[in-house]
Amino acid sequence: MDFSLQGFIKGFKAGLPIAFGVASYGLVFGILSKQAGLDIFHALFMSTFVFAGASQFVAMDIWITPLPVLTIIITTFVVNMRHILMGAVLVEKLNGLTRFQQYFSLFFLVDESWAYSINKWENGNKNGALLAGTGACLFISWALSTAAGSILGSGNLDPAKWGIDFAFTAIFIFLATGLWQGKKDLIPWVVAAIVAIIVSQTFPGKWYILSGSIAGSLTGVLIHDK
Amino acid sequence: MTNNIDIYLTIFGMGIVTYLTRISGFYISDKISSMPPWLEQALKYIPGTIIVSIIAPQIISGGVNTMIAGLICIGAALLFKNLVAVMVTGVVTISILRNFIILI
Repeated sequence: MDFSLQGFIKGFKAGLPIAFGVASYGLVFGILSKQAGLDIFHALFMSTFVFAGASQFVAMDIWITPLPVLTIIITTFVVNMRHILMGAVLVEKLNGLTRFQQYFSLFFLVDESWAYSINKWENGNKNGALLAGTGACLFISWALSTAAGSILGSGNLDPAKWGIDFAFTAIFIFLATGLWQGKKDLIPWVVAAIVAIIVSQTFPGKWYILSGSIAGSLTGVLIHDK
Repeated sequence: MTNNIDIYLTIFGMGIVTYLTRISGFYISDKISSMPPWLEQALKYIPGTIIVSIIAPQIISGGVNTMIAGLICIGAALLFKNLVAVMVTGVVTISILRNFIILI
């Protein structure tokens, strides 16, 4: 893997189409944050320092007076726990990068940048700056749209009305087909899907991603690699 | 009105724990010199199963519309092998289904 400015720019450009979808949700987040009593500096600080959409939306849900500081921080950690698993598979991918480049790249790990980069790397791409580049593009989109939403302050925006919610589903479907390596993936993927669906309907938050993927992966090991 | 320090403290804490989730999995598996073989094998399944776990509930919770659009997206992904094309296909399909075709 190599890490270069050109590689970073390539990743950045690859992130552009995804950035449109991200911006529509950033706008909604900006509006919600204003309504929850945050000013534009608070909202921008959150979107640039936390940079994790799902957990930011959850935080807005429980953003009340007096502020439950610790509850919000712990909830954020729980919602973002899926990143731990995502990071664990990046060791061999970010191999050959300096420690700074690795931990710089990891800041830009979000579902979309991670899935996009993994898809490319599994298919032979050697651009180590992909995660950072794609993630930086989404980062800028998320920050700018948060600011725009906060300035707007109100409005009834529903990305689902335009099908933008499904843009992300479509992106992940595309990325999944690119990771399919044949029949041995079938049972692990089916188990992951079933467990994720059941958990998503019984537990709040993002537990379903962790449970689905752990169940599917362990099933794979049990049936194929024993 | 909540005071400013509490707000900044909360956001700061959120950022720190989030960055910890981003680096801890990487840090730990980087530090383990010899991973048990089953764990190493399991990690190979993680990328695909994570993405499937993200998609499956979204498709099921949206009912017939998202199931049909999901199938069309799989077709488009195999056909076009292009992210933007699949994204556009998905958005257009779901918009048509939601706005013009009323399914139970």
